Amino acid sequence: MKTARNFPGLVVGAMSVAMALALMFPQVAVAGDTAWLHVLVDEKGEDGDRVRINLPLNLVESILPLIEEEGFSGGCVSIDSDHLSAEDLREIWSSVREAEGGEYIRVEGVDEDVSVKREGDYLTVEVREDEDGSTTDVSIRIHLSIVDALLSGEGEKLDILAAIKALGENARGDLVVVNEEDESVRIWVDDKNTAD
Amino acid sequence: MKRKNRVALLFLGGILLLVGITAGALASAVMDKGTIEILIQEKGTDGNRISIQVPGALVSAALLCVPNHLIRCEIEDDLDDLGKYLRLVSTVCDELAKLPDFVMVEVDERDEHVRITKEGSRLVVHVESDDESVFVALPLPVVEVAIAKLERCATS
Repeated sequence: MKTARNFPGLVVGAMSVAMALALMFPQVAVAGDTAWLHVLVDEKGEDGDRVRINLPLNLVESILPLIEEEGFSGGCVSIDSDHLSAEDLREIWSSVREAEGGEYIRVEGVDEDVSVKREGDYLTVEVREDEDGSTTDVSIRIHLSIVDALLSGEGEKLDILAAIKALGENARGDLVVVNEEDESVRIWVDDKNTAD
Repeated sequence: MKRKNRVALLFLGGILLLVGITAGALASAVMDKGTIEILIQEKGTDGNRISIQVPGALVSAALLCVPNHLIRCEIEDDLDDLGKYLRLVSTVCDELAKLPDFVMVEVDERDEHVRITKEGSRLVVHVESDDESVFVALPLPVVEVAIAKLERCATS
């Protein structure tokens, strides 16, 4: 019964504590739906160096339009080549887009094998190189929409920002894997903020 | 309960409410801005140790007290470039604030370990080498206050 009688005081006391807590902890960071780009460079051996980079693609998307450097503006990079123009690239890509899936290029050399394939919505490039007895394997796997976005820029511009957006929307898994005798590199996209 | 006691209890409750709100607001102001921490520890028996811990709220307040024209004199020659970089840093801070804690960069070399993390509302850089250990924690809200101040100086 005493509690009931002290009710107004208890309510006011509880409110004061609650307001104090609310003021002390105004916001809680919420994990967004952003995709994460991870880079892992691993030198083999006991003393090998190891580099890990985890980047939220939202962050990259936000800062790219703000970078203004020579040849890079508004999230687009300008191609400055006498041999290959952006228009050439668009034409080549258009042909690839229209073609059916399968292996487009296969080169089998003495010390190098190259294969370019289209598998479903992915373009894959595999290179195997033998040099002085050591082998390097490179595997690149890119969602077609990323190249579409990259080539959507105007004139001689490649739209890096659009490609990053497409990367966040469509790509999950390995983008680049390089395996050398003494070093490996892996670049991939997933929804986790750790590279584990 | 007598009417007199009830009034006294309500009065006490009111005071408690005021104290709670004031304490909360003060704590919020200090916690919002976090603490700038710089810790440098040289290795070895004679190694020096430098430890700086300054409440971000204090730095923010101090920044606001510096006259704009004094800062403008210092940055006048680099105004064009500065504006570009301020927007960039400000955007990075905004985006980082929305994200959960994460390790941005981690480099493990034989004689050096570097780790850059986002922890709560601060950016933490930790370098551990054979010679020294360096720890720097920078609250993002303080960076934003500094950027806002510089922008004001640049446009004033």
